[in-house]
Order: sequence, then structure tokens, then C-alpha cells
Amino acid sequence: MGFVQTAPRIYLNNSASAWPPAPGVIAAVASALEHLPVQPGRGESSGADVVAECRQRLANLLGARSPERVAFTPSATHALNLAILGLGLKRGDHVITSVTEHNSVLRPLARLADGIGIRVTVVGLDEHGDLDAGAFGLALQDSPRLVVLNHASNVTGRVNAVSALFHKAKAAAAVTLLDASQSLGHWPVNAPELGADMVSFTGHKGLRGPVGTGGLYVAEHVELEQVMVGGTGVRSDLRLHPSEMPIRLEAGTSNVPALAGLNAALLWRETDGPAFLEQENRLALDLREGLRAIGGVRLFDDVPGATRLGLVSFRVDGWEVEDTGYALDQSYGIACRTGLHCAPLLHAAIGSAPTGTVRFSPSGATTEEEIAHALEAVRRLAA
Amino acid sequence: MTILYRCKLEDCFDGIAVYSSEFADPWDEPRIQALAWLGKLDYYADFPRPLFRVASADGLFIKGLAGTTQCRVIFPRTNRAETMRHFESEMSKLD
Repeated sequence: MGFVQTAPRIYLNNSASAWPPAPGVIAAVASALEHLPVQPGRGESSGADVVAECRQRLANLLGARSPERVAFTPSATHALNLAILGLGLKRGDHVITSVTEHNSVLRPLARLADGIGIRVTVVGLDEHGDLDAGAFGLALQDSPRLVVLNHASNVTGRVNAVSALFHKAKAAAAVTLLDASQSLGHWPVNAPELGADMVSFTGHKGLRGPVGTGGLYVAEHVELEQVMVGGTGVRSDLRLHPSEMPIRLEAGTSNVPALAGLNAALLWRETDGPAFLEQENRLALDLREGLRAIGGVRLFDDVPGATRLGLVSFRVDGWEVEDTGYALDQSYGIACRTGLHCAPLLHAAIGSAPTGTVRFSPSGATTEEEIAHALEAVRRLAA
Repeated sequence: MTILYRCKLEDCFDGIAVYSSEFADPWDEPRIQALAWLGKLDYYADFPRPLFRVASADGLFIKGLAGTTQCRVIFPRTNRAETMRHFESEMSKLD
């Protein structure tokens, strides 16, 4: 089964939402919608429990000892809120994070800072564009309760070397939370090896599943307070929401069709994922090198040898970022993303403040002809 | 040119005023060239779908595609109401 592509446009916005979905996803979602609804875990379905299968596949991917440690959420943002708000942080508690974070981390922390008075240290970048290990070490001396780090930047694609930082944080008795929204599916995310007590992720980016899927891995030694409680479809005789994982964090009706789609994406990935990623990385490199060769184009975080995902952020001289996106989209039929990419703190660090960047993010389904067309479009804008 | 309706759009920045305006008539070349007196006009006639953009002295930005009946307008943070009236007045002069 191959990719289903219907849009007569060039799609270079896979970092926002991967398209087309992995082969098998559309059929799995449609099949789930065509059949009678089921309640996962109640044995109502005569077929396989795709939600349980999906949970197991994700547990394998994340290095979780048990699938029960993976809770499904509608998004990575939802997962991050469950993790950050569920730790029960109190006035004066210290949290360390970084300038590379998405608003789905920064805003829950800002709300807690303004609302209950937690203290937040935001670690910057060093001269190589890596997270500043020196500043991180200093911040660790102030007894953090939580360290939240982005695995890979959605602006630059840079993969942060979180493992060493997380292991130091754990030695300082902090809980560690990894935002793997951009990395999962593109890069290995083994939670125990990385020293991550919790990992938030989404299903519609690197995993190429449907939107509306995501989740949170929580290690056995971390017990989150329940942020949302209510219907579970099981154990309805209890006055309080069940406390065991994963149902502890899964209030409300499961999005079974979307999870069936995510399961199909994970199944595809097990066989075809490596070749797809190889193609994606090769095309992204072609794109980066092609953009670098165009006069009047400035790349951001274009550090040789940096470990990064297959995306590139740039600007074109004489063009506002938003105008560039408009011209590429409207005149050339190229879908990309412009602006701050919901990561407002990073732009001062990489020199793209205040208006941000234009971001191209191809995939393994992008063609060489499409990359050539995109480069020609930028060349003509820059001329 | 008669503005049929306008729709507010959002972008990354709080307080920005971006509108998509729909006109009764298409942006043909004479109308695009007539925008030049509002400010600096860039017209990219060689793009696959020709594109124009204008930056006026009072902070108004207009961009659109030739042959379509829409354009996108960014109004400045200051004197916004006055600039909106100015934009509508100028559009009404284009026939």
C-alpha cells in the first residue's frame, strides 16, 4: 500500500502536521468509523483491540517497561499540561526549562509562575547552538523539582543532547520531562536511556498518524495528580476516578478511530519507516544545501555537523517572513510555515527575532522535483 | 473597487490587524499599477501566479495575486481606524 496524495501542491510543512499520513492510516480510521463503536478494554469488540495494540507499540518505541505507563491524550499540548500541572508544584518550587521550548511548555509554566509563584529558569544556548550546559549546571544547584526539555526544536530541527542533562537533573532529585513532539518518529526516544521520567508526544508529526492523537509516558516512580477526571467507561461504581495508569490520565471517551489510525502508522513504521526517514533526511540536506547556495538567503542555526531533524529555517532578503510564506503559498503552491512557530524564546537566541523564520519541512514522501521547484521559487524571490 | 466583505485573520503576533478583503472586481494590471501612488509597489509579473505588494507611508501593507478578487491587508498598530478608512477610500477610487 502506498501513500495517498491528492493535493496538487507541494507540502513542506510536515513539522506542523505530517502529510500524507502513513499508508494504512486512512483505511484504519475509516474502518473504525464504519464499525460499531467499542469501549477499549471491555472486550466488546470481536476483533483485536487496536487501542491496546497501539499502546503496546508506543511502549516499545519509548522503551517503557509496560504499556500501562503510556496514557493517550488528544495532543502533545494536552500531555504536557497533564505532566506539568499534575506534579503539584507549589509556590517557590523551581523548574528548569530552555529557550527552545514550544508554548505548550512555556505557557503552562508561565501560568504556574503567575498563578502560584513557581520559579522558572530558562536555559539558553551556548556558542555552538547547544543547550548551555554551564548555565544548566548552575540552575541545578537551586534544587529544581522539574526539568522540562525539548528533544528537538521545531524551528531549527536541532536535536538537543538531553541525556547528560537529564541524568544530572535526576541526580539532583528533579523529575525530568521530555517534549518529544518533534522527535518521536524521526529520532530514537528511549525514555530510560535518555533519563526521561516522562515523555510527551504527538501522533500527527513524525509518526504520521492522525491529528487528535498524542500521549504521555510516565515512569513507574512518578505519580501525577489527576488534572482531569470523569467518565472512564469502566469501574463506574467508584466515587473517584480510578488511580492506576493509564486510566488515571485518560478521562473521557477514547478517540478510537484516530488511535486505530495511529496504530496503523506505527505498524507501517516498523517495516518502511527507516527507508522513509533516510529519504526525508537526504531531501532535507539537499534543501539546506540548495538554500545555502542562493544569494540573499539566510539560514538559521546552520551550524556544520549539528545533529538535527530534516527541516530548515531561513529568510529571504527584501521579503518579510510572512510575505515570503504568502508568495510561496499563493504564487508557487508551496505550503510551508512562517513566523515564530510557537517557540517565541528561541528567536532571540538564533537571530531571527522579532518576526521569526520561514520553515521548510519535507518528508520521505516529498520528491526531488518538488525540492527543485521549492529552491527555484526561493531563488526567484531572492533575485 | 467595491469591497464585498473582509475577514480578520490571525498570525503569530498579538494585536496585529490582518484582513482578507474580497472585492467585486478582480485585480487586473491597471488596478495593481494604480496602487503605486499609495506607496512602494512591487509587482512580480513573472511569478507563476503574478503577485503584488504595497507598503504605504502610513504603515499599510497590501498584497495579493493578479486576476483574483482578494487581497490581504495588514493595518498598523497606531492610527488603525484612520488607516482602515484611508484604505477603503482608496479602494473605492479604483475602477
